[in-house]
Amino acid sequence: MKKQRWETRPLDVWNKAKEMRAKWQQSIDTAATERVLLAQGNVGWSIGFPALRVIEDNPVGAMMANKSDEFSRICRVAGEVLGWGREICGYQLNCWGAMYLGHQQDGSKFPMRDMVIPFPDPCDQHTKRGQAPMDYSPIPRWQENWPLYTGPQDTDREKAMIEDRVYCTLYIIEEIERIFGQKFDDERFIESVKVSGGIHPYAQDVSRFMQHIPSPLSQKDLYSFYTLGGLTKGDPGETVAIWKALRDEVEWRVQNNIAAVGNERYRWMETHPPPWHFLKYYRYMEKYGAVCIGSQYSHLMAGAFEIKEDGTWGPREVFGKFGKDRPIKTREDAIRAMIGTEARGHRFKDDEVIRPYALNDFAKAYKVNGAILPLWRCGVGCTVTRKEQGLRLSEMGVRVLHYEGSQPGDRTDLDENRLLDQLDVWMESQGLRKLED
Amino acid sequence: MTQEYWRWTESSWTSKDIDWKKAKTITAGVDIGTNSTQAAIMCDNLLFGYANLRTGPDYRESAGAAMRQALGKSAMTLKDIRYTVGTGWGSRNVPFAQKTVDEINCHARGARFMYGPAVKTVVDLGAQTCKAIRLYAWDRIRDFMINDKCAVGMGRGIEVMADLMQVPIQEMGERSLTVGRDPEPVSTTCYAFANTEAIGLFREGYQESEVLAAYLFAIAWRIHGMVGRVQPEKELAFTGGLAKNTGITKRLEREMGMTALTSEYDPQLAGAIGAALIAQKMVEKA
Amino acid sequence: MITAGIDVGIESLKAVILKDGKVLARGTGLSGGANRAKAVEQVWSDALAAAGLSPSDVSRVIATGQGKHDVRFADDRVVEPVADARAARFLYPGVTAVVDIGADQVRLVTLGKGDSIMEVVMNQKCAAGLGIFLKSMARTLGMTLEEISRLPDNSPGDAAVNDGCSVFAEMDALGLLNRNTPREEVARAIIEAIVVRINSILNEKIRPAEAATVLVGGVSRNTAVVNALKRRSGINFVIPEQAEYAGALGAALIAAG
Repeated sequence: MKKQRWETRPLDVWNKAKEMRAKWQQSIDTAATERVLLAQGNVGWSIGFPALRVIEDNPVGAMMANKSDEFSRICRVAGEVLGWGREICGYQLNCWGAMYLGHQQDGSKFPMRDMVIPFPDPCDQHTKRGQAPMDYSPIPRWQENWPLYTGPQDTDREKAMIEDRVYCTLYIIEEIERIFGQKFDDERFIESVKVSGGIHPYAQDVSRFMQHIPSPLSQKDLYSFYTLGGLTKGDPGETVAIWKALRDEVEWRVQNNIAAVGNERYRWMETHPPPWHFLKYYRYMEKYGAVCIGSQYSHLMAGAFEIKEDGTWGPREVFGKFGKDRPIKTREDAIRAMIGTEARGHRFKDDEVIRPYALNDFAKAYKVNGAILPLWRCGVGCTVTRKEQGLRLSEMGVRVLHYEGSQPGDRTDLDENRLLDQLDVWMESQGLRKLED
Repeated sequence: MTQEYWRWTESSWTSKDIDWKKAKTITAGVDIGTNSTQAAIMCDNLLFGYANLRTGPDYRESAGAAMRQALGKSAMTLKDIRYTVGTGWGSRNVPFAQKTVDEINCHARGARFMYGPAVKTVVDLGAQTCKAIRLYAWDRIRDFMINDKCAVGMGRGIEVMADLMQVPIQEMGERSLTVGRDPEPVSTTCYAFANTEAIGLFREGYQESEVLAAYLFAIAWRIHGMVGRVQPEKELAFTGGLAKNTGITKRLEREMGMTALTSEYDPQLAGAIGAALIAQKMVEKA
Repeated sequence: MITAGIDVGIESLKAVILKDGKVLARGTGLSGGANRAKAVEQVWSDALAAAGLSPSDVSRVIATGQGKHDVRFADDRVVEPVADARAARFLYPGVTAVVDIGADQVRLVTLGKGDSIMEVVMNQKCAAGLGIFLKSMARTLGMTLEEISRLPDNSPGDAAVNDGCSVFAEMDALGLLNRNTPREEVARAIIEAIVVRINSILNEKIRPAEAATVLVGGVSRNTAVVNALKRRSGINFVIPEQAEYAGALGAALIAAG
């Protein structure tokens, strides 16, 4: 076997992370038996209600796709039979299909949700998300306005949107107190906002380190770590500590040229979630010495970024005025800090629509040679501007590959063997042959 | 001469025993499908003759040919037939028909004749479309579903697949059932996707029977999702050309949790027989 | 030095035996499904027999095509665009692009400097069903592929079929037959749809004024399709003799070094 170009070694911090994720997963699994309130959604303030667990259909659907082809297929048909369109969203069809069936893959009862709270996202706006559990059982549903905005920069509008979000959040918290007889723990919430704000500089560093050649981490590592952001709802202190440990270890790897892929000779990026049922294609690409340095999506999940004045891709000041300049004292302070400058939805999605060259900035920063941009048949969040982005990246000299599928949580139309053939064609037509079988 | 794996057996039959001159009412039904055309001649409650042949590019000619073959060597001619109903995709192209009737009603009527009056759910498995029909206890349609546009042509896709795999089309079903446990199905969206994906499975080391299983399971699964929408109820009957494909029917039965009734009649005749029976009703009304 | 290239497609497989740049023999057959390895053996021995050679006379065999792994005795494998590029360059030095239209895939390969490939553009799955689609439609129309190939390229009449999906196109074609459209007109509508789809891949990637664009693959033997494609794209393709053997030829050339 040929000698590797770079040294590789597993991450020390990985074991601790696995432990934390298992704990979080357990808390969701046992939610049905414990007396907790289960909310469909994903909000940063849920930690203020000790009995509240948030669980979002997206990661549930993704995990189902990853765990069992058969069960997720059965769940999707359960949804279709009740009138769901097949192209609405594989995640939702998986997750709510199990609700219609009444059980999870291991046979345990499906944990019915007690309420729907917002997960502000372009996906939330146009699909049935949140509507399915609300229609199926008599539970309250609250929404927040955080739509995809593609117009020109408008500071008045942004101010108004932020005020609206603050108002909605305060209102929803009060409503939950009233309807469910819960008391919101302001101290706990404020503390978690203050502390978890500390994650961002570490996450941004980890992201930035991946611009190094060789990359110390690959996309697979990012998927493992970005879910840690959700764990702040468990223990913010512990979560910050693990991010610091990760950051320190990755910095050490960069200083010592420890690579994620020992034969790194080609760097590629992708966009939006991958096919969760077919993650082996990362390993397949590694056989060519090709490392996936991530996607705008996975890096944003890890940290918060933006394009600077000089056109470089760098970390964004998340708390805006708070944290540094203004102390966080009240519930509203914490909410404002949490919302920060996020007047428009997930910025990277807006960016992609109004700035077709958004991915080019990312590609430049991470020194990519190629980009794999899947053409999904599903919700707007995963599909908008994908072909245009490919054209723009080509202009810059980045080689682009498109492949097709249904949706990251739905394996129906992803022809796996065809994808592997396409990867072979893509690599070999760039003069790269496999380094290992 | 290369073997034509996609070609299924055509058939025709004319009764030698029935004295058609003594029949009260002689009617006929012609069902022109995209791939196959059937003609059925009824003498009162008895099936006198039928034909099942490939639809050609000239639909009118196919209708005529089917009729001729159903009449066979008997002395009966078109003139002796009191009333003919045309149905199917090409129903407008039965020039000697007095009326056209939709294939939902024809299949329902034909299925009850062929499988018995207890039939409540009919699943018509055709070359172009698949339909699920729910019936009341009496002869009325309660509900029906037809596949989405994207699922058209499944029967035709099977012909293409037989050609690509070089497996005789009539053996595909049985060969697919030799697997122990079904693999996950290939794409259920579109037969073109399913075909190429299935061929690609050989690369993974799938055996022929496993590839056939993944492919036919996909078709059965797609149909199952559609049938679910009419809330199927016993008794179940399958009609249409794909009803002869056990790879599809056995899997559908498994997913539906229901066993379909059997019949001595060719399931592809349901539309034509039903049309001929409806023709009788037209005669009675007149 | 005697080398060989074997191109195993989804529908047919092609073999070329080459000596010092000259084709000694060719062989072809249906790929089949489970029996592909056997089909390969059959075509291989047919080609050897035609060349009057035994397997040991051949120094190196390279396989290409979807089923390249079914050529168990291959010394190496290359992907289809690499084989196509090599063949095109050999047949027409200075060529800048090659288009390969096969049974279920159409591929555009633009060539860079030296041996390099600039870009490979393939059809999305929805444009699948090219050669396979033509064959299936020929069956429905009761025409042979040769009869379809001989159809004159008049501008298409009123009859039209969907050009974004071959399954919808098929449905439209059946609708035309139901309305008693003559089958030659239906065939022309199908050809037009195929050509619109292929052209969407070529788009603006090929500048007709530049050096030659080569057309290869099984469907390139269908004159009616080629004429319609030339008309639609404005590109005056160069089509080598035995165009469907281009992949196998390219593989054999690569085997020779």
